[in-house]
Amino acid sequence: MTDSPAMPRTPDELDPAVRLAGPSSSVRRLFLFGAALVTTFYAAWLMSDVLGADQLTAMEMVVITFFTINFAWISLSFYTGVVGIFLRAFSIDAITLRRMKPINRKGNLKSKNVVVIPVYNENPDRVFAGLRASYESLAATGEIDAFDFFVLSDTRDPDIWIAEEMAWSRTCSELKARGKIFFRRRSENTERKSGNLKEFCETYASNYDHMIVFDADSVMSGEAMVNMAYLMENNPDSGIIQSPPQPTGRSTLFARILQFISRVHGPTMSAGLAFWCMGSSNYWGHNAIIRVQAFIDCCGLPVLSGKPPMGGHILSHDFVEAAFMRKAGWRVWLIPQLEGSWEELPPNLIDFAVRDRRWCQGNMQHARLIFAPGFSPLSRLHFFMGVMSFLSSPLWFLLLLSSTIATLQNSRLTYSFFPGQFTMFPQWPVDRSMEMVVLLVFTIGMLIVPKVISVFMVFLGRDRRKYGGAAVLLSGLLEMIYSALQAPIMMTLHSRFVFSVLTGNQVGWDAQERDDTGVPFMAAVRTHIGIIIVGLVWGAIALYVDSAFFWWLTPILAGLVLSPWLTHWSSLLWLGQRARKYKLFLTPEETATPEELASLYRLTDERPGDDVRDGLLQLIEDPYANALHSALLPARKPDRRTQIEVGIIYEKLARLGVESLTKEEKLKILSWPVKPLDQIMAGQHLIGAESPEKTQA
Amino acid sequence: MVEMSNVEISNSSPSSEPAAMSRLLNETARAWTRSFGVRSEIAEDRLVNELRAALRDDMVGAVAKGNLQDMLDEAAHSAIATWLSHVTGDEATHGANKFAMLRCAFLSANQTKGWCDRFLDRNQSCHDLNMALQAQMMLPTPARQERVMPRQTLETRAS
Repeated sequence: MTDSPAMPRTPDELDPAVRLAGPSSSVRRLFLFGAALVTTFYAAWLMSDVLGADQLTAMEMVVITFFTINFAWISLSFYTGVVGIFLRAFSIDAITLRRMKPINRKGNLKSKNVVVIPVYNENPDRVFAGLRASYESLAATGEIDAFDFFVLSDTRDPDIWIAEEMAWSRTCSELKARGKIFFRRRSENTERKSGNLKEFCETYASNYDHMIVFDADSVMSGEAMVNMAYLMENNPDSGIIQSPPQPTGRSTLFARILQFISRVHGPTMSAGLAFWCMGSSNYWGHNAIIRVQAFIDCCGLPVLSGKPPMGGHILSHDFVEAAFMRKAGWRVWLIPQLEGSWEELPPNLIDFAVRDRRWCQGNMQHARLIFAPGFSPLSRLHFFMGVMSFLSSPLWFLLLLSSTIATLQNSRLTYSFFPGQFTMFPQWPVDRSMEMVVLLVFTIGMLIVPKVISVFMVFLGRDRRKYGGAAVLLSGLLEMIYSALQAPIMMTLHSRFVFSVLTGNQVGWDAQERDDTGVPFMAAVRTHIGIIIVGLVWGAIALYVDSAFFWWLTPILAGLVLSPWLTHWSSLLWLGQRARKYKLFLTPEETATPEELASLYRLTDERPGDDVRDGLLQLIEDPYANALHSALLPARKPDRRTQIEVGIIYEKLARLGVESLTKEEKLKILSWPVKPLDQIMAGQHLIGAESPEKTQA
Repeated sequence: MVEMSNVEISNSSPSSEPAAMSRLLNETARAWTRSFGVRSEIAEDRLVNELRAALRDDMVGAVAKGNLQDMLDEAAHSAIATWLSHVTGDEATHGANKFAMLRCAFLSANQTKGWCDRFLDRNQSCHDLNMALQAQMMLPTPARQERVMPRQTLETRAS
């Protein structure tokens, strides 16, 4: 571990009741990985038995290889879920393995904390509504003095930039939080979000012991934030504590289905993960608390050799930061019972895929870190899991493709009853259809059983009314059908993403869509046309080769061919609202909305994003916006060249108006104090007229 | 920098001033007072007088360099910053950020237009105005604590 910074509590002051420690991490991992490995071997043996009944062909061996890799992946996930179910069912703390207890704080916080919100071209009203909801919740705990808020803007859109400044000023005034809520914008946004945080760490972060990192759409309850800070204070060897953020707040059918299953099954998986990861958990980039000094000392990200997408700056910084924390000896914890932590999902499948494309590039970069020296084995596993979360798609695709080819080959072969020479006894074909069914059921069971049990646990639990009562079972069933149909679409999209990254294509940096935006049917068709063609061609081949094989493939083919309908219908807001009316996919956030979310929805309703208008025009017309903007600019002087360039833009502005300026020109002019309209126009009457000295003469 | 008392300003005479110059001075003064949300002829006159005095002091150089408007803007900034310094007792009001912060605070405090006639008036007590400004002062960032976040390498263990 790096040199310990000054801790807010002395060893004598530590509260042992919240000590993050538990018995035998190695035994836990041995059990979990052992079980996953044994199950994978069994499944691989079963597969080779089924396929090898009549001699194994080369293609069948390829099928077995892909199947084994993919099965290992789902097997690990299955046992994580099983452990999670056990822990939840008996209310056992995943880390201490003792009876779960709420965090009972002894005394006030002693640390100084900051909530940082990195933003990039986000809707300022939404960002500040989330900040305000969290701030007010924090104030209600009586611990607001231990926290500041900091909006770290990387925004490049001139209009959003000005709207952010105005939203910051308004929020400070309305909450009477001058000196508690801060704002700064980077003029150069190198290294995206990680660069934004790095710059903060190098300028202001050392004013604080811990920082809670938000995403632009994050909201957290005051209790959750105070508990996280309390855990940090009392666990001085912890570098990061991650809360499991709960997706919420969207109303399209797509988002509501995902919100529902995350709410029902997410805690199971979080508990399972926390059980075997222990102090080597991962960091998901937001809704987590970080020890500032440790982060500064050991989380400056390296630049990978080579060009993007596989080289250059690290995109998915969170996993890497967690790995560097572990490398330096700090612990990284996931605390499943930390409730009151929320985020928002993309509203439809297309936006979901756009986000995945960005993540895919970041995660694929991690392949280069898996074998880098010094990282702990579990950090390497996290990297591997990140890579596999996308690479598994092409592997499944290849498995299905090789199965099709193997079936095609087999259909062309004439069965030989006397494969050996000089034998009197024929070798009869062996019927393995029963084993095939067993294998199929076994595989599907591994995929869905933990989810099914999670749904039943909710149904049998005390909170089932918050999930729609008995309708939770129907919601669970519909979710499984939907996810089964969506899986082949995501498989092909992810395969395309992986291929795109591996062939050197980069992704841009855009803000995530955070409204309930629908996808028009024709737009869905245009997006999925390739997938539909793949589905139709594949189906035709399968039908031509073997009709029985075609029926095996129908769940996958249906997802591919129906993709535009699925994308369009699931993106509809009214369908999501109608489902809610029939108590489908309900979550406690919808039925018993927490105060923080209610406050967020109220604030976003009051300001539905209308505050973003022409920023430059606002600065010219509104003296307050103008003064505020000047006050927030870094103190510096333009060089001669910049002065001339800005002067030329002002001339254009005075003669042709704001509309004549390009976005780049606006950014240029906004990078320096902007003259109000009267100042721009003052002296214009002299242009073209006689100069003052001539007049004097 | 313009450092003139109101008595001196009142001694300035616009009688020999060309019409175009008067218009320029008035426009500049109006632009600057409006940027503080001030709509007061008294305040505008005060600033015009400040500008006129600055112009008299620097006329030859400014006109020769052909940046009369810039010079007037500079003079207006300086006159207002000096007055803000007088109000707040803070010497560092000429810097762009501090000046803009005080402008924000003045705009917030002057929403009812109650301070318009007091703008640039150095004869009256300014304790009450200072209190109003301090109550409205924004603080964009806390004190800087410069640190270096070293880049880690993928070759050796973290230091």
